[in-house]
Amino acid sequence: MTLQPEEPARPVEGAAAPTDPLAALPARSVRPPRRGAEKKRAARRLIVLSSAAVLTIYGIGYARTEPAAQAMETVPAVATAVPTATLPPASGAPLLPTATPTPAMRPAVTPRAPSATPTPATANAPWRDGTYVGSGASRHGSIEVTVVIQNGAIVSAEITRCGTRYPCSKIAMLPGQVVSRQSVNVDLVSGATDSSKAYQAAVMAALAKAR
Amino acid sequence: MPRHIEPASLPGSSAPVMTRTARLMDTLVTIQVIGAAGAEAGAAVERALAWFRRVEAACSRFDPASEAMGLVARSGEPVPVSELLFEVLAFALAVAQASGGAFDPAVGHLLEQRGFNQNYQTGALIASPVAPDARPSWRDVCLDPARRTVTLRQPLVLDLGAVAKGLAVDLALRELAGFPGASVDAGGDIAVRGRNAAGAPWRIGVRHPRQPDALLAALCLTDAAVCTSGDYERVSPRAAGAPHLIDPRRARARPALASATVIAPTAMAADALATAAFILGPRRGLRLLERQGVEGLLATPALELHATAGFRRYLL
Repeated sequence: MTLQPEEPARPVEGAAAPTDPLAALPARSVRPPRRGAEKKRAARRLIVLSSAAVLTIYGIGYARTEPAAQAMETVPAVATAVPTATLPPASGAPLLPTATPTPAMRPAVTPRAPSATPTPATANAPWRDGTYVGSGASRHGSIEVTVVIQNGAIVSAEITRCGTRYPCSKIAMLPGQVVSRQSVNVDLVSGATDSSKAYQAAVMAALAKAR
Repeated sequence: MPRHIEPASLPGSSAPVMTRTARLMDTLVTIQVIGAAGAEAGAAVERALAWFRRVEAACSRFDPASEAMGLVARSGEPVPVSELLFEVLAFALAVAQASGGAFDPAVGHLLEQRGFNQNYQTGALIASPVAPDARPSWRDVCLDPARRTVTLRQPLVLDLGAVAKGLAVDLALRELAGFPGASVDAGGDIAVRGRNAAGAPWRIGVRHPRQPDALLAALCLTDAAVCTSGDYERVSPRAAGAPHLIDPRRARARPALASATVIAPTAMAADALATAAFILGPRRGLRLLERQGVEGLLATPALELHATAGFRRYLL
């Protein structure tokens, strides 16, 4: 009894854009979440969590991502600073995200020899863990960004205050680029270059505090 | 399923491309590296593929020797787990909470019962010791962040497919950070970075849920991931017509959506949120996506489209 195989992804011939399938969408506006600090923290929480998880696992590399049952040897416990994961408690009480690293005793596992040594995210970690706020100005107004560093890597760089005359929705893809590229070198958004530069300046200001 | 759209090729302007395909995690994984084709690129691709094996060893529901399946028989006691499994569980539980339990990683036994129980490599069938009248849920999975242990309150089968596949894609893509562009495609979960062979942002099409050769939408993006959950992906070999996406709150799964597509900074988030939105339906699914700050497109079986406010920005 076999499962129906998935179709392999294949390139689609003819790159001409189809007629806009969204043209028939009713004009639907949904009120964005209120800008209170708590709402901001709650919103996008899963994005921040997933970015942090990827960077943590990648940064650890091949050692310590092996299932515990396959560990060959353990060496004496070493104190290691680890970020506290934001977890749902069994009782369903509301969560408070924690930015402060908590020291934990964890046995170090002798790594198997990997085929090639991956570059961990923490190898050249220029940033200290924590949450940093920076601001960047443009002639349309200023943008405030909050940058979170965990394990020496940027896990989020969200816009926490948009003071520009034009909406920050135009540059909503830039926070993702900062995390993906682990740098301030974001694209300049066509039609929003001033906001893009203000955002970049805000991230730089925040990161400057993290050194 | 999102799929690549080949860029119109201009003579003499394409960068070298290395493409490699492998069958991993019961799906076809295709990796493209732009700007290099030699030994260095080959080694990076191998490292990228190795992440899929690593994630599968920790999270597979079909391998009784996987770390996740080893937990079933040890309910009631705290079990130390690898950092990888711990992070996957933490994230899966967070999605469960955010979706009000619609997305629930603790209902793998329901999938087994519906016939999604065969190891794609060995053909062996799995049958876990979960009582037929048991009602485990995500609240039965307890994590201790200080000790990095997992305690199952009752025997349950963890179904980490959505989160695990996305994570593998993200980890694989990170191995390819040194190249001008790269793409990792695992059965339609696609994450891209940099530029494609034509030096432009990547073009990805979202498959039409009812016409396999047509597109619902054509997207242009980079440094992001696109994932789609659809009712056409896998059907139960046992229960006629029963899809593999289960709403644990309902006895019979009758999806209100034909497909849910999410664009997010990570494939881990895009995959999980596409699954959650699919189960939640057009109204609550859209609200979840907006709350989490991702863009998405939901299509009902009647092909009514619902999109988040910013989705249009990604249209080609």
